[in-house]
Amino acid sequence: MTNTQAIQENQDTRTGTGATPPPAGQAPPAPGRRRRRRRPTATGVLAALIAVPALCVVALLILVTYLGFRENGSPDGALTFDNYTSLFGDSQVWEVVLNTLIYVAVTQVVALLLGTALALLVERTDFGWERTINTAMVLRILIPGFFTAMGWIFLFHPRVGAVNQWLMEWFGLSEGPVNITSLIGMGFVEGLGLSALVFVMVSSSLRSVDGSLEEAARASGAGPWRVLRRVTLPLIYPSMLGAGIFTATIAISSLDIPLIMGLSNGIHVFSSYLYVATNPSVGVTEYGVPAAFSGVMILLAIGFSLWYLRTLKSARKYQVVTGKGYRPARVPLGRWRWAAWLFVGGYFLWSAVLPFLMVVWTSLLPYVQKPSAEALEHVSFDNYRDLDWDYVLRGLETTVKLMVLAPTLAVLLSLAFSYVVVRSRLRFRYLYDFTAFLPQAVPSTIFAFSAMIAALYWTDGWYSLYGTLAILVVVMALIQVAFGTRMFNAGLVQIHTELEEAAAMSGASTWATVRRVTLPLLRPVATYTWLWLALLTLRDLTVPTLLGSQDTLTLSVASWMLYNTGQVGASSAVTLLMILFMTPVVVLFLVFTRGRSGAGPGAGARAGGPAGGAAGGTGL
Amino acid sequence: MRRRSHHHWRYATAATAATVAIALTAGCGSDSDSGNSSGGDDGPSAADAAQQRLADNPALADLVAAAEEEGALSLNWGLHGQGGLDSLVDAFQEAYGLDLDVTLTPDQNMPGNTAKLIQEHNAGSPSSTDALLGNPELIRNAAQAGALAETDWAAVAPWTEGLASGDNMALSLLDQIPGFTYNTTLISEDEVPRTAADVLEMDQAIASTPYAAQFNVLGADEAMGVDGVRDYLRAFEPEGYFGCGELNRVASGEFAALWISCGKNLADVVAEEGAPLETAVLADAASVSSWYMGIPENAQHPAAATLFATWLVTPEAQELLYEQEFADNRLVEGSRTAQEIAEYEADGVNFTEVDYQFTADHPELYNTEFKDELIGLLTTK
Repeated sequence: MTNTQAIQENQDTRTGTGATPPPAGQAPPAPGRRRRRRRPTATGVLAALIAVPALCVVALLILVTYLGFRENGSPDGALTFDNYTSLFGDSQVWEVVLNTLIYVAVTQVVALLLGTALALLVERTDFGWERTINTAMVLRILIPGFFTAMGWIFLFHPRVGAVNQWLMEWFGLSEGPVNITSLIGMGFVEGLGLSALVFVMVSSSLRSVDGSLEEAARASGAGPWRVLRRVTLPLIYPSMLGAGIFTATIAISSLDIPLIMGLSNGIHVFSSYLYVATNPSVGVTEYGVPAAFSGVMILLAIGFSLWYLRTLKSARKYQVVTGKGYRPARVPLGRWRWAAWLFVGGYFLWSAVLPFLMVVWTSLLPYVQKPSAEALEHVSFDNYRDLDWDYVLRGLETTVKLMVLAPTLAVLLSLAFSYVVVRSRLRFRYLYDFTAFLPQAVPSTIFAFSAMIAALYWTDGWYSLYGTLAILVVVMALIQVAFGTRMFNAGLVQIHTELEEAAAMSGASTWATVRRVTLPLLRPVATYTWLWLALLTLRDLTVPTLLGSQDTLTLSVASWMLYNTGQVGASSAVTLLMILFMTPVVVLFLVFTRGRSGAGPGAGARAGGPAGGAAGGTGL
Repeated sequence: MRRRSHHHWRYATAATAATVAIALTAGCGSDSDSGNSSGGDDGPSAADAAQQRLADNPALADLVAAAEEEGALSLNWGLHGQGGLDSLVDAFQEAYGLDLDVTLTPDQNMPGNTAKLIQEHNAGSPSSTDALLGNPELIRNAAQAGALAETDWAAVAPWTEGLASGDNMALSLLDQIPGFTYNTTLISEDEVPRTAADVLEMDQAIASTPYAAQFNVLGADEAMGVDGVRDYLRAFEPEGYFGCGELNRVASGEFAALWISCGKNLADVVAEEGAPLETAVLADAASVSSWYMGIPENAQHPAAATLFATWLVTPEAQELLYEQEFADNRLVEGSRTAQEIAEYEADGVNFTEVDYQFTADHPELYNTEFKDELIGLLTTK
């Protein structure tokens, strides 16, 4: 069931009685007493308040589109169509478009295949290890993309990748057989990371669909493959569609893998194209064509979102989610168990363990070398000892501030948005829902780019936002609202309005009702959402790279800057420290979500709609 | 419920404590290290020298007072030696008895920093760095865009005489000798090219910079000439591209060489750590390229930045600079880079001197169209 459907159903339930109850927390007017002036309702006031962040989201998108019509993309530039002429006439831009399409396609194929296969294995076979794999997959989502990218470069770079070098030595090859720094390689590495997200979304969906349909098919003589193809996959089609769209958005937004694996090989995709335009290695910054490009992307994203939401609406035919928690009989693996183990073991080995070990190894060396007796002589802790600790601690300080402030603001805004969307009867409440969803659909690079220009040109003096922590917090929070609202929408739908109405009938004010009834019931959702967003904030490279300054340097940016200046060992060391700093929050997150099946971003997807992939909107 | 939540906090607290302990241990270690490096024998002599300069220079004393008043210095600068800028700043503070709140961000993307500065100037925002570091072309671009402030360097620092650009927009910091930087385990001594033409004959994986560093200089009449460099780049096929500071990628063997590297000193810095790197200066493609410092027109701490820039070209700072960067300013007395240049010249190498004036005198080599054309020839094969 999607959020929209769930919300609609909730509304129907309320109106189904024939009587129209007052909005939550508001006592019905006493008979015989008529008010001359209608006082604004609590949700009305809230709707007015969240109009500000909603307008900010829309304004940032309008600004980018507007800059596309200005000379050099400068707000004070002359009005022109040249940027669009250049955009469509520039072969480099078309190359970027083609690269982006290939990159996203490969990402999708890898992520959907691996993620869905793992989810099916865990949820529909007797493989076991459900909780362990679920936890490992959540952890996999949290590993920063640039960490994996570095690991894979150290493994499979055509000339310095350890595996390639060994293969060349053993088989006398003149060049490494695998080139991970290609477009296909980049998509593969991105897909590996996103497969964990697909897994969480699909397995969450698999847990929710009624397994009796599959059992009925089996009872009718259908084999496992036929059941999978004809029954299971169509049932989870909406969540796979959602996962596909989210992985696509994330792939388009993310900067880490395109920067680390693509930039030095001259492979540009949309995000790195935008990065290079704002951080040129030659000439001056050119915002016009990137803005025009972004404008086109915004239109595509909005169109895509509308199509997606419509598809979800029409997906009612797949609506077989029940509250019974009915588990289907699991397919016995039998003699294929070894293959399943090989698949799961191989996935974690190549996706996380080996890249991790290679980053650890490289962090101990002055420059990249394959593991060997000769290289062992160069092993030392110099990269850690010689780290510029002022720099690292500065990064840590900003990271900690961001991890506290951005998710907190995002949670508060999301709660307000969701309350208005789910609880109010305002005519335009779905517009709010769509606006909150936009950062999910539009690449976060565009929001960051737009906010940077806005802050640069239109804030000055005491209210200057350019390069400040405030703008980072606000933009990150606005982007995270996409995830937050999906979570809170789902949470609020599950809290029946009877509880709030009972409180209101007992004379509690709106605020008292929210404080004493709604918020305590939403606390687990809020805590979960906050922790998840905090972790995603830590690993985000996209927004801090485009919007940050030397005063708002984060650990992820510090690591990227070191990598970009050839200090690969030091960069590896910072990345590992980042993982170390992440540990307490991860522990807290895992402990908190222990026993909550479907821990991860898919938890919201189960309750309705696109929550599962909301990590995309947070720059995952 | 309560007990369980205690468990939550116990796990989280233990993990946090471990993390913080490791960070603090490492951080403390670093502090003591930097303390050692900044102290030592250089401190007193640097301070003495600074005091002597201050004694009969009221303008300089005023600048020190103004810097102290500003109380901070923020630099987006990329030097290459380990802790290079840190120790220089420490020595600078010690020399003038300052206690500035210094923010150093090791950003080596000079073109990016310059573009950002110009953008900030155009938008009327404060600059993100208090001093711009760049090659003559970038510094001149920033000056022409009005993003740099004209400074009477000699008035506050007489020892900078002859080091400033003609329009007083910038002060030269050090000189680099670009060349063919190679991995000594992948390219043997007899394979090392002697001329630019020899590079075309090599079959090893040679990289270049994505911004065609120094190739435009080869377009000067005294080198290949404009058409000559075009032909050369049509024939030169790099295996990949990376920035001048990423010589680890040659050290690791990812590429056998970088042509043209921005300076042999950059390879020397990495070689100091044990990397198998060397730089050959090719006789028909030799140049000396200067790095300049300029003070942004909208700098937030211009006095501190000006004071720091002028201090960096004092003999004692230049000595420290050479220890870190293996390069110094050839115009400052006792320069070791000047000595190296003299040795190359004795071997018959003729250098093109690429300074601020050179960029002004050769607009044909520095216009956007020509550079874009060269980048296209280099990167599109």
